[in-house]
Amino acid sequence: MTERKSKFTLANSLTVLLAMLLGQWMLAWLWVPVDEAQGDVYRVIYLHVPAAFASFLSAGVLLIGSLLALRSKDEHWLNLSRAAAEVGLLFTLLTLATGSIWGKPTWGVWWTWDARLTTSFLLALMYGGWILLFGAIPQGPSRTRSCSILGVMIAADVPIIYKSVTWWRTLHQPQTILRTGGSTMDSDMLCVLLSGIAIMALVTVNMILVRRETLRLEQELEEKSLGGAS
Amino acid sequence: MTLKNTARQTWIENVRTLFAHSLRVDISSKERLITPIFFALIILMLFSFAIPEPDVAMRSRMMVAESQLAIFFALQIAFSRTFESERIDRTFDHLRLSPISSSAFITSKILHVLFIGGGTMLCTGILSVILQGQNMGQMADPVVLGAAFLTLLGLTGLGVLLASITLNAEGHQILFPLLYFPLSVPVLLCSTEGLVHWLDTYKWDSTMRGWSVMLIAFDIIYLTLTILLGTEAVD
Amino acid sequence: MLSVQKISFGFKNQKLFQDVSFNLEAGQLIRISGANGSGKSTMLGLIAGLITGGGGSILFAGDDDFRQWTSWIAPDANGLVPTLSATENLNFWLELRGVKLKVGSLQTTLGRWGLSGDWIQSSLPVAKFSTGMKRRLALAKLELEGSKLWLLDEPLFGLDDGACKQFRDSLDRHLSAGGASLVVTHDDRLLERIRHQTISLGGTGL
Repeated sequence: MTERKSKFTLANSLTVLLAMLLGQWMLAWLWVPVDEAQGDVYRVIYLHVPAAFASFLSAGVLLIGSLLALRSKDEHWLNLSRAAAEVGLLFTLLTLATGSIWGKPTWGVWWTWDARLTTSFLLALMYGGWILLFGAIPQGPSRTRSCSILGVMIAADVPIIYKSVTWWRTLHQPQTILRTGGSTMDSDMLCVLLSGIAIMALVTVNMILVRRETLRLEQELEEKSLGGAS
Repeated sequence: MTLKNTARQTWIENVRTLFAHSLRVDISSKERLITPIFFALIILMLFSFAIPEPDVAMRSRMMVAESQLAIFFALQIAFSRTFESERIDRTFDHLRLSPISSSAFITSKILHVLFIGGGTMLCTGILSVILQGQNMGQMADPVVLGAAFLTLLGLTGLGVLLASITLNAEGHQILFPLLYFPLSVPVLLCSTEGLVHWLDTYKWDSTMRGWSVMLIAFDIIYLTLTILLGTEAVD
Repeated sequence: MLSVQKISFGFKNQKLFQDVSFNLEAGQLIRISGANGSGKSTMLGLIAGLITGGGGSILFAGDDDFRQWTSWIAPDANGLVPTLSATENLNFWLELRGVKLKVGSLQTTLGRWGLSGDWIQSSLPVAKFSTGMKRRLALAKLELEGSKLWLLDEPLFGLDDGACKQFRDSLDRHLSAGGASLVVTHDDRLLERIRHQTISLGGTGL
């Protein structure tokens, strides 16, 4: 019974969080003043920046799930890693899409090898690679080990990629990097953006937990039905 | 025949035996040594078709980029086959039942890949310098050699670790490059940018220091991960 | 030498075998029998440590690494590198175990297993060997390793009557010298004149 209750709370809190996200977005569209230089399109950053944070946060959860799985050799931590990789991929794609939408009117192109876009692009490839590896190894201790090791590698690589790519781009074409944050930002804008990031972080953690729960149930169902068939 | 076999190899002897065996296997089936270099040659040729004669300003950048990419792909071929001989005839299971430590096994693999990778790198480097009509003296520069070695070290750590985790994966030939390419971006960026800067200026300034520090940091992280986690993966 | 207590193994919810216990002492041979798919090879793999999971405990005597005094014969493979010669292959495995051989003993043993002549021993790559020859090579390796415990999974695979008889003698010598063995085989030729115990994995099979 307690189990059912906890699922209920998880799903419910996700609804509440999504409602909060919607509210924050309405604020972003209706309340926050328009950016003089960029016009209304700049408002996409209220989704873009939180999504980018969420994609990095997922890498952190992936690291935690992988380390716990390596330490305990317990397969069920793999569900957490898998949920993190899937949610991470989702938010990375969202980051890329919103980045493109913002980039077209601002930079004049859909895509440029800007430092942040490149980092997100690589992150999407790595999350995708993780999910592919997961699918390519049959269930068992070797899958737990291999996927967890890859999880640690990805998490270790994210800061190095971020650092090296940023440096690479700032060295060569500093003028293309558009800075939105910092002191130039209106305090209302900053407030909405920060609250967006905070809400999105909660949504991310919640989504990962919900996904983990469904994965666990899927597995349980599979085991039960196979057991019944024999 | 005796039942009193209490002899046992030390860790170092384990590594030596495994390393020597890997080399013997490579030499006995020469295609394993030749294919990466063959592959690099084809890439160099494709480059010269696709890219027009670069002007003077772009010359060192083009040279570094072409050589790096040829080496990168050649190494990928060499790395993805790291555990090829263990896959045959359940050799890996036999190894797991031999009294060897898994860290000795991983160490011997790293040494082996460094050796094969070094050879591949050298051959590809010389070929690319010749084919691009460059001065061979540029290769003998200690900074160039050092950058090449650090690149090889980082890519080797990454390659061995990825090969060990894709050991049991279906379609590992495809999966390996898919994982290898994005994860190796930092090392490629650091070595390419560092080398281009060096060949343009021949000055050891803060930019050079920055890229070298980053390259070394990458090497340390990946080699540590390989030794820590690779042992776990093959255990 | 080896004590197995209540081991179980199964995939998903289907149990292959449950609560199997036995002790293996010096000079003893235990045969694991059962229908196809009853888990014989799985049990051997579990004891060797190739497979993990399941319940129960498997204890090897002594504090040292059991792999040092255990040899394994796989049902369908011999762990040979096809491009290397017979002696190169054997030397590698023996060296890994730290086995020091007297000069010529490798050649004599291979000769006894019907692999005589310098060309067959040191020049011909193993890829050119027949199935039976490869198996003979693996059994010669088993003899030379001199381990106390032999884990044998279908050791007669691909052998003719002569080699089969020779392996029976070899196994006999191994047991009288104080060795022990755990055997999975469907071939009654091997154990017809060797004293052994049998563990049946009832199982419903596939």
